Amino acid sequence: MIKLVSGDGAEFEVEEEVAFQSKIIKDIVADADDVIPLPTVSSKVLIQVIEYCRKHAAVNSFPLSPSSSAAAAASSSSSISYSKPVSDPALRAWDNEFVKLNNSSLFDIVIAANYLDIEELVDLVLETVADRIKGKQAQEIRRQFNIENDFTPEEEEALRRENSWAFQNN
Amino acid sequence: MSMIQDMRDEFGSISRKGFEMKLGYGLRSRSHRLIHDAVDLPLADGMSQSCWENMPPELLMEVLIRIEEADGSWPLRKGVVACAGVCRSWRSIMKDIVKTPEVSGKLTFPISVKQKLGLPLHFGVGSYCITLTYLLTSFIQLQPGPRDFPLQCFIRRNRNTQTYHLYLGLTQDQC
Repeated sequence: MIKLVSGDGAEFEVEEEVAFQSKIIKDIVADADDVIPLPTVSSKVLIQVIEYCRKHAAVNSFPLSPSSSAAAAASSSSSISYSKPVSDPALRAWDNEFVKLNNSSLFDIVIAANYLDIEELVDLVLETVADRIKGKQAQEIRRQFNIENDFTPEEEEALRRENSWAFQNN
Repeated sequence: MSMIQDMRDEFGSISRKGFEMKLGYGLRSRSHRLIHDAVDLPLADGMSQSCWENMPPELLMEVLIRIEEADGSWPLRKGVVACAGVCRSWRSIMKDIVKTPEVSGKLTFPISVKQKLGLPLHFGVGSYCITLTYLLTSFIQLQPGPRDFPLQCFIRRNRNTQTYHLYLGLTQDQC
């Protein structure tokens, strides 16, 4: 078991194969103790990230070592694969449910996943965000993601021309 | 490698802090279980910067690359223009992602065609009466540029939809 400590001091004990969904944690555990402080990750976000890692660790390791979770944990360096597109339809469906969160929560998760180097989770969130941006005009995107318009009036004018190029028929 | 080393150093130094925090909050782990009631700890929300303006540029770039790749042709490609109009950082990243028409075979920004390329455009106009829209006048207003790399455009009418399409010709024989 590996103990993760969130920035607000909450401790979470998780199995190695769950924690090792994070490449950074895997590297650290190799030559450190098994208490890993994650000062920039709040407990709220860490719970969500662990939930994701738990699900993916189970799906990733069971096909390779279905009978022994201990063996899976011991050999997790070879049993967990990264950066492959999620092909399991059931896992894809689970992922799609997982990201049904507001933009602010997704932001917190992607920052944590990037920090922990959980490539599949980063990809999942970025893909979700890209899908939410598609088909929207600039004002809608700003509103939805709480982004301030910092263009000068001159730049705004150039943008207006550009938008009439792109959006004149809408 | 050095990044991992940096992270290790960071984690190493943080490790001591972590223990102090643990003592300070008096939290005890519950083996094999998540501490769900920790959600309501007051610090949890205060720590997060839930604002997409603070998105690290490398992550924002990953998002915008996906949009640029997905919206390859018009009218979907207006999504690329929309993203470039969100704020300065989005614009700067999107402009970096969008390649020039010769490289990508895509027209995205009229102003980038005008300013960055400065190429003469040759129109191969069919026998149809062409109404000049803003789109076309944008091209006609292009400044003269070097003739050794002409960017050719031609217009086709779609009879069924009563619309005109401006094509970008990347080779001489397309026109």
